[in-house]
Amino acid sequence: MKAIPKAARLEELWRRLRALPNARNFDEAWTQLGRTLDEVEDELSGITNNPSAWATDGRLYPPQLDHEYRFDLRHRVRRFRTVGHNVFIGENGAIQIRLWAPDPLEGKILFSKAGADGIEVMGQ
Amino acid sequence: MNQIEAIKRAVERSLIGATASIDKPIKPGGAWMLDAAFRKRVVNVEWRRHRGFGISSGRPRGFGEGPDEVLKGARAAVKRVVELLAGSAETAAPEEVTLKELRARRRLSQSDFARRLHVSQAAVSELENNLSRSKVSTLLRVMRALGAKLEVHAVVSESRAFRLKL
Repeated sequence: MKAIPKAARLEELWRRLRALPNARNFDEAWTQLGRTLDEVEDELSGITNNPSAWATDGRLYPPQLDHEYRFDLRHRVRRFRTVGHNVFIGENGAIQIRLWAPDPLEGKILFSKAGADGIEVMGQ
Repeated sequence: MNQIEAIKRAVERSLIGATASIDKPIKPGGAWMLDAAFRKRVVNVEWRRHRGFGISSGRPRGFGEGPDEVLKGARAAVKRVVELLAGSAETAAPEEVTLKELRARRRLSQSDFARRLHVSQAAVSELENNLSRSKVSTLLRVMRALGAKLEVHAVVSESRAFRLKL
């Protein structure tokens, strides 16, 4: 398997996520994000999935449930973190990934997709 | 006050003008996040209670990367965070190196390294050229002599790997 650079793998992640049906709820969105990133990395990173790793090993890993933090600005949206990023997932299945910023709403948007009801994360 | 809160206080006291905010996990036992800033420099610390402190400076990184450096103790974490905020260096992800390259980065000649290991220079050369033939106990000793730690990862399938307890 020929490994491709991170930036290209992330573009592939965004492409595959956009191609999926819009998620109907939090669980579907969470599963789509985790499963799709694992698939992309299995196929294209050349690096074995090592869930026990913590320090970066070159592979990209999805956010974990124990990395959820308060987010009072939208009632039906949950916020998670990975290093350098905030991940917002709505109860309606919407997903938004932003660069981390002191004000969560100021981080640059890297990916955004509405839930099955057509409503984006910040539209709730 | 827990360890990450103590780090926050220590950083703010060490660098006048530094600001730090804590993101507390919703789940008990979850990872705490500390975001520290000083003169446009930013450092993130992720604290996992039984694993230590994952430290990353503000270099651009891809979504899903882990922290660049992991430190066990809070004191070492404070020192490193202050160093990163006050200086110009960035944290760096671990890279693949040969034993010879690692020795050179520690500024050790083969003969110096041989003395540390109480072996001949020829033995060091043999190690560097045939590392995969070494026993784990030898590798542990070699890493200690370099001031490093050894980790062994077991790859059980194309997509699963584990770190072995030694």
